[in-house]
Amino acid sequence: MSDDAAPLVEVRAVSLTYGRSPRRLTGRLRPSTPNAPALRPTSLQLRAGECFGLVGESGSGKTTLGNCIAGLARPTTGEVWYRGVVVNSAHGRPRLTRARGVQVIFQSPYTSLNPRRKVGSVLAEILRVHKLRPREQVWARVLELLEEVGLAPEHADVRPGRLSGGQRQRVAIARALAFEPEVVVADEVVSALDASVQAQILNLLARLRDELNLTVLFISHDLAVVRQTCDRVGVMTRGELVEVGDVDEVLARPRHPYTRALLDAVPRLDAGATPSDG
Amino acid sequence: MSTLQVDRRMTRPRLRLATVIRPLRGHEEPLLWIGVTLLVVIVLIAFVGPIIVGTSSTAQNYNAILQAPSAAHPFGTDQYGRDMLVRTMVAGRLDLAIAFGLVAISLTIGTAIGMVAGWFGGWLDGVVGRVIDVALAFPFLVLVIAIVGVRGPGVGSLFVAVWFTGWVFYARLTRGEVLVARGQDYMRAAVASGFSRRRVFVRHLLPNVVIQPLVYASSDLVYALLLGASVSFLGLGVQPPTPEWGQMVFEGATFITTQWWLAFFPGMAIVVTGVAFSLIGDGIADRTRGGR
Amino acid sequence: MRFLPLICRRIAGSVLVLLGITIVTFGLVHSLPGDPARALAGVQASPRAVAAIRAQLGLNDSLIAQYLRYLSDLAHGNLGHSYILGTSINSLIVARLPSTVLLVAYAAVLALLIGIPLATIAAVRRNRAADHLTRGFLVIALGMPSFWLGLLLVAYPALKWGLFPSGGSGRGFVNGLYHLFLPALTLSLTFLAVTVRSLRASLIDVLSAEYVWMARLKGISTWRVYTRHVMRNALRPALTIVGLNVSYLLGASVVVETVFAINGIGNTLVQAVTQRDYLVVQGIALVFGALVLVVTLAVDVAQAALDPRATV
Repeated sequence: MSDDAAPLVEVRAVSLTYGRSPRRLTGRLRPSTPNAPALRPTSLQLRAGECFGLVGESGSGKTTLGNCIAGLARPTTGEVWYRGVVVNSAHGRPRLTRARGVQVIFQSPYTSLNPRRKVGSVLAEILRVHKLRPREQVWARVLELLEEVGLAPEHADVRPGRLSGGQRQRVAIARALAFEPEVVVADEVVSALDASVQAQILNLLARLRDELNLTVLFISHDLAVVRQTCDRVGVMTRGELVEVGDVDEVLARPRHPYTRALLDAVPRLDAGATPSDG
Repeated sequence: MSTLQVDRRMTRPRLRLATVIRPLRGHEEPLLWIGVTLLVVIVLIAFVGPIIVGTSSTAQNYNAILQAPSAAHPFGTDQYGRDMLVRTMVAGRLDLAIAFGLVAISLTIGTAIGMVAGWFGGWLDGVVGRVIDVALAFPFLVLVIAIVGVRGPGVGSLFVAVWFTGWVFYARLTRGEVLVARGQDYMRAAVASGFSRRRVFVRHLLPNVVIQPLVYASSDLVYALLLGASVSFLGLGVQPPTPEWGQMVFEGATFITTQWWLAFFPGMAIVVTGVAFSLIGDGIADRTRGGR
Repeated sequence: MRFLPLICRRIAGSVLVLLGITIVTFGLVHSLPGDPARALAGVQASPRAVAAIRAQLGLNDSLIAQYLRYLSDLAHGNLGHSYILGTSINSLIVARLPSTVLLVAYAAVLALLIGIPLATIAAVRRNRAADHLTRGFLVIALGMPSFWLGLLLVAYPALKWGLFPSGGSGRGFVNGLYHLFLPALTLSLTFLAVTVRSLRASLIDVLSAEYVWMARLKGISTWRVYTRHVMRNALRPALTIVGLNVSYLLGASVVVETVFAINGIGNTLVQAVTQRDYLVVQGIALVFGALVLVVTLAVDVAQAALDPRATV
């Protein structure tokens, strides 16, 4: 794990509150929920090459934070820096830079792939639009990517509907990798999968991370998994980041009461099934 | 562009294009098979039939006016001595072209507007929504008649009228689909991929959003046919001497009690074509409703 | 009343739509190429008459001013004056609207009277002969042009066999029903087809619902099951269908009125178009729009009132 002075990704006082921008009423009355912030002003740094786990319960804001970093959501306040450049804005150069450098893998394998597009076509499109390979080499690279994630070349010609959950997640990973990113935001990527498949995908991620020297933001509610895969961990609750530190440190000696409560609620980590190395 | 609507709450599964446009196996879906075959036959008759029969549709023969159906003139002749069979066949070309043309226009414009309104939301969506509400407040035929009336009768006016009004149903459908697709992860992934908006729209959004409108279009063909024929029947659409079924029925109306064949056969042609379109529309709708 | 806010919202929305309708009808006449005054006066009018019309209608003012004057005229219930027919458009519409309304209502009632039993039989005897016949009928009915059917009905039952009058709307209510029977039947056909199709589908759903099986198991007679459980739950969709298709019915009535020479507003619309009487076209279009709006609102209110789970 490198110890660069400058963090690869930095989040400064980023917050997000839904409904803040003026929205016109289009004839339907809006539900009268108060505008609670999904994310309170939060700061975080991701170091190059590390795997940073982000844990918390549903609604804790971890997905929102991940979205802000990945460019899927525009923060209400604060800045997201990537490689020393502010990338909040949704247009132009910063957007393209960030798209190349930071990619997302979503939780649900059933909604994260376009049902009307064939797998190979999606990957090829990325390569072509971002000019990652000259035209002649695009298809070869597509097959290469599929192989990287453990899929056969035949899978390039199918639509997601024909694939299992685990296979779809592999495609999702391939899609993210196609950009040759530096940072990958893995948002609950194994939560929707069966236990055995979970292990396979996690192993795949670990291997890819090593091979490609990726920086991973691993969002999860599963402490056992985080403990296994991550170097550092951040704990979130109700839109706030309450504790950050090395994963072993935090899980063995939690300082924040919420972290303690979280750990208490989980069955003993040592007793959990350990997937085989891979 | 039809205004006849079923309550959509009653039939609403998720659609896949493969369900809708999969190859036809006759024995599994007899009605759809019949409909498609019938339509193909009609198209052939309309476009190739006159050539085969050989008689001209415009040649006036004052020695043979108003003759009842016979071996020489299976559909009889009209008041100018023109052979009704060939006239009916030739008219079919125009009616079919109008039906498909009207649906195509409404589908294209409606899908485009629906996509833009659904995607961008905000005031644009609000405005489009209001326009749709207002357009729907008029009976469709009345609106078309009024616009044709202001512009002057003719096929061109008919198309302009539909151009202005027919997109509404498709826009509403498409907008609904877009609202669903917008929240899906794969669309957000497409946006986060740094693709241009045009690419996201056309290559990612459109394929998902266009299925419902296409299904609706298949049911809409019959209404488009009847619309074109009705407007022409009222004298506001296709003008004589161009043969068109609705207009031919109008011309034959005054003779209905005596020379019944003048109005009967063109009307029958509409019915048969309408049946073909109905079967196709129902067949495709059935595929989406219960089929796999 | 629970659904009062809902009604208020709907009415507010309707007012907006009504405004939109006026914009459309206003725009219709003002989109005419050339000199509107001349167009409105008719081809035969003298230059003095044209100038008089121009002054009278204030056609020299700005578009906004004209629109506002149009709105204020409407608010006073004044739809303008037909220069070609020489009467006020109001009186024209008042005289002719009843025939149209009667025709459309008659057609709707006929469609429901025939359609509900037909749909029930088809649903109950699903996939048997009666059902197949019904569905065959539906396909043909949907493809049938109303003007052709109307023409045939005029020719045979009316003219040749003398069973029914061949045109006009008759005098008085009962006589009117007699005169309007064939036209209403013609008009009802497509609506009938749509009603039967949807109703049959929803009846099939209801019939296979568990509580129906329970009722039958309990020994409740089949007849009672139908009337009590099935029909009541299937009638609400019927109301929805009516609401959705009022617009279509009104539009189709134009054609039927023309075929049967009924002096309703639809027929008048077509004649006005043929005679280039644009103000009449505008007025009638407006009335049609308002009609649809009112009926749709009424149906919505009725539905909200009937629905035990009123959504607010």
